[in-house]
Amino acid sequence: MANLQDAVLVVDDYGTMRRIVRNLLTQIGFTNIDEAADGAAALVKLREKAFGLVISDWNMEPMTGLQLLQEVRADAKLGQLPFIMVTAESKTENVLAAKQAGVNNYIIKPFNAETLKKKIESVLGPI
Amino acid sequence: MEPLLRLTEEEYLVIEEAVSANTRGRAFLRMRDKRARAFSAEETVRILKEYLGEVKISAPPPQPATVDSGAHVRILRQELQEMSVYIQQTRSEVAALRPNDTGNNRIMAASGELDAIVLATERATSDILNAAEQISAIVAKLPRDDENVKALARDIDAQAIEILTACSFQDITGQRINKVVATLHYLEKRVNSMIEIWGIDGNVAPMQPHPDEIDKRPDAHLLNGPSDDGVSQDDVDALLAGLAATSVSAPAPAPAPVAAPTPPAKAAAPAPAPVHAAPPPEPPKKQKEKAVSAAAPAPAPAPAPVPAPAPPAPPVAAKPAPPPPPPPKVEAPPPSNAQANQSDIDALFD
Repeated sequence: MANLQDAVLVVDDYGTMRRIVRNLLTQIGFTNIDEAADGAAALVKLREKAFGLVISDWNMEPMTGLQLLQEVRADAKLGQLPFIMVTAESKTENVLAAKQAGVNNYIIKPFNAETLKKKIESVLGPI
Repeated sequence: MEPLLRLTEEEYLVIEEAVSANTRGRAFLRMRDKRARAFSAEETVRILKEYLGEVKISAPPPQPATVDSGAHVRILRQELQEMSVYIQQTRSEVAALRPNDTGNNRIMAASGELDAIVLATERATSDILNAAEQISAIVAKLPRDDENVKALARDIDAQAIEILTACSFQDITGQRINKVVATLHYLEKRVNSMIEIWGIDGNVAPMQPHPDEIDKRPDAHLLNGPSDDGVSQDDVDALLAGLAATSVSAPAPAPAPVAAPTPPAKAAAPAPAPVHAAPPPEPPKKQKEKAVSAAAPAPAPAPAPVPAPAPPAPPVAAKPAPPPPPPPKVEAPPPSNAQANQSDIDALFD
């Protein structure tokens, strides 16, 4: 069962996308939402505070979403953190690389609220 | 005199390998190759021209015994002339792409336009998101006692969410446009290196556009499309207000609207135009426009069947129709601060 009080970190270099995902999460019922504009900034936040879920874009600079995922999985404290990739990178090789790096789910942009909710439920349990 | 030393293939390769072993050596080889290529391009054209000249001069008069060789020479000359034309044409085409200055470089202009598209869609998306968020916020204030209202609110909220998610197009299009911009930058680099290789200097005239590419409309020189460095609406209003004052007070001798930034001549007659009769404390128009476009506050013109607290109405450029206005100042205000409302602007075009 998903805990809607858990903090969610939204990582995307496009402010518009962060805003969209934040709104959708609020709509779903999450109350504690934080944002980061790239992988490096996200990693700093993840090491400062406890999060229950990361929703990250892939194509960012200087640290990409995949690098962030690899860093998270390599970190003893963060290793088990649920991680959903939300990206326009829709090639099979991308999905496979993310899967191999330990992503919990993968959403292709553009997406809708229902898809986001479904994927979150598949990772965190029913909302 | 000692004969020039000639290297064997093996010796050449050994030396080349030694030179290209470090960065400076490789840079040297690249520069050397580039120079050699630039030289050969120039040389080709020069030699072709020389050769054509020689052929012209030395072409034997047609004699029965040399009919075949004369025909060959003609064909050769024709081929060489065509080659020469092609080379010149290519040089001109490359020169047309050359960044003589920032304003004339088509590739840079194209990437600038694309960057502007990204920015514009970003702004528009932000406005749409603001509006969608406001709709959700208003819906959240609706009383939920009535089941019908509840269902209606749910539907409106769902549509607001649809609007939100649809806005993700901006991310996708932005990424695609950035890819195109990157490709254009790559092309620009390649063109620049081609220019270096060809050794094109300022003497090569850029190719003239094809007649079909020329915009023949009489006002083509004024049609540049959207621009980032254009004047603002305030400037336009001020300009038109200044012109209105001028046209009302005294017929302008020449229609030179663009060169009107200087204050118009003092209006001798009391101007009946309401343009300057507006009371002074009106906020600048820019603020008004911002207040309308920024969706942060609840939209003003909503007839609001919703019992939402009516926000303070943003300042509107309403004409207050004041009592008999004090005798208007005779001097026309400077155009930069002048304000004109829409009816004044419309009057100019009646």
